[in-house]
Amino acid sequence: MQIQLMSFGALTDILGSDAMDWDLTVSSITVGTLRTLLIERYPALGGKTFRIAVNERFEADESEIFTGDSIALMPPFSGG
Amino acid sequence: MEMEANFLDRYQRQLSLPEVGLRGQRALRAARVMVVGLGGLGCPVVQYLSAAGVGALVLVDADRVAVSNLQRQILYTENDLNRYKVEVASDFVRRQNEQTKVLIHKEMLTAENAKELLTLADIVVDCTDNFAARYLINDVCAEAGKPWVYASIAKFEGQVAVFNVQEKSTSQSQPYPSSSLSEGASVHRSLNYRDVFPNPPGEGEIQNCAEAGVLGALAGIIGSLQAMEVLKWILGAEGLLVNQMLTYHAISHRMVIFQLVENSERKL
Repeated sequence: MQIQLMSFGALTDILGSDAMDWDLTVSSITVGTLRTLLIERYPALGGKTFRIAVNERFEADESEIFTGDSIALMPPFSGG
Repeated sequence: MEMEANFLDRYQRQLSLPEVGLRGQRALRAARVMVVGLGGLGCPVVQYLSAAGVGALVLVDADRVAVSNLQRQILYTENDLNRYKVEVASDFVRRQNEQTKVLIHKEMLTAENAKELLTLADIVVDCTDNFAARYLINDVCAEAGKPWVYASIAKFEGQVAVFNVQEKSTSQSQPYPSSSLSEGASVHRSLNYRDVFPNPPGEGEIQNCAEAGVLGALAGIIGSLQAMEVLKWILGAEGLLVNQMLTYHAISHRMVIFQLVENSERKL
């Protein structure tokens, strides 16, 4: 399956780009599993606070992700 | 409610909008808005709300104007250095719109003073620059049943959302200002910041503007979006960012509105 990965805030510095495609060898995964895979691929994400949105909706860890889905990684911002 | 003699001229550009009109202008004059934090976001929020004819502003900030503020906090000039921000902002509002009442508090919002301050306002605008203040605003507004307009910025990006809005519990999904609901109506409140980020990030995990940098115009854009949401809430206009979070990126101009979902473990 292929997903589109978008990142926001300082997470973009970790991923190296704010938008990329990512090929996975499975046909569907959960949000929680994607989080684990992301941290394996980008260890600097470990310990970071961020939500995962699937098709522009923040989802819980149990939610499933399918090929073609648009994934966004959103950290909290603090500035004002 | 008494309107000044020239108010038809003064507010003509917004009175002609069907979403405003005389009814909306009266709602603006009756509204009491608390702005917490008078930095990059708070400056445009105060200016646009006062200009639009909001009746009362409660300004909360303990800081004095510093030279590093002038690059983005456009209420302040070199002549204002070392003055309390709430005093400079209050002077500005008095010059801009003598009909707007201003209450100032030269102190930070704390768990101790928040409850009393909240009684002075119908809606709260979070223009703060740290997580402790945001979670405090979230939690006291949840307890007191007050809506609040959140925004935050990081480098070239911003987030905006309207939290804890009173909604009818019928099939109608459109939120209403508290004033338009009859007493005793069955209501519940829209999602809040803890539905998005249940707990604050670790100390030092997220950089603030001093560490990460920010261009002043970004604070102006995001603060203006906040002011717009406050005005829409007062007017009962459609399209509030309720159960949603808007993000904006000033380099690409990409704007995305994310849908929020309830955090079933949320306590407040």
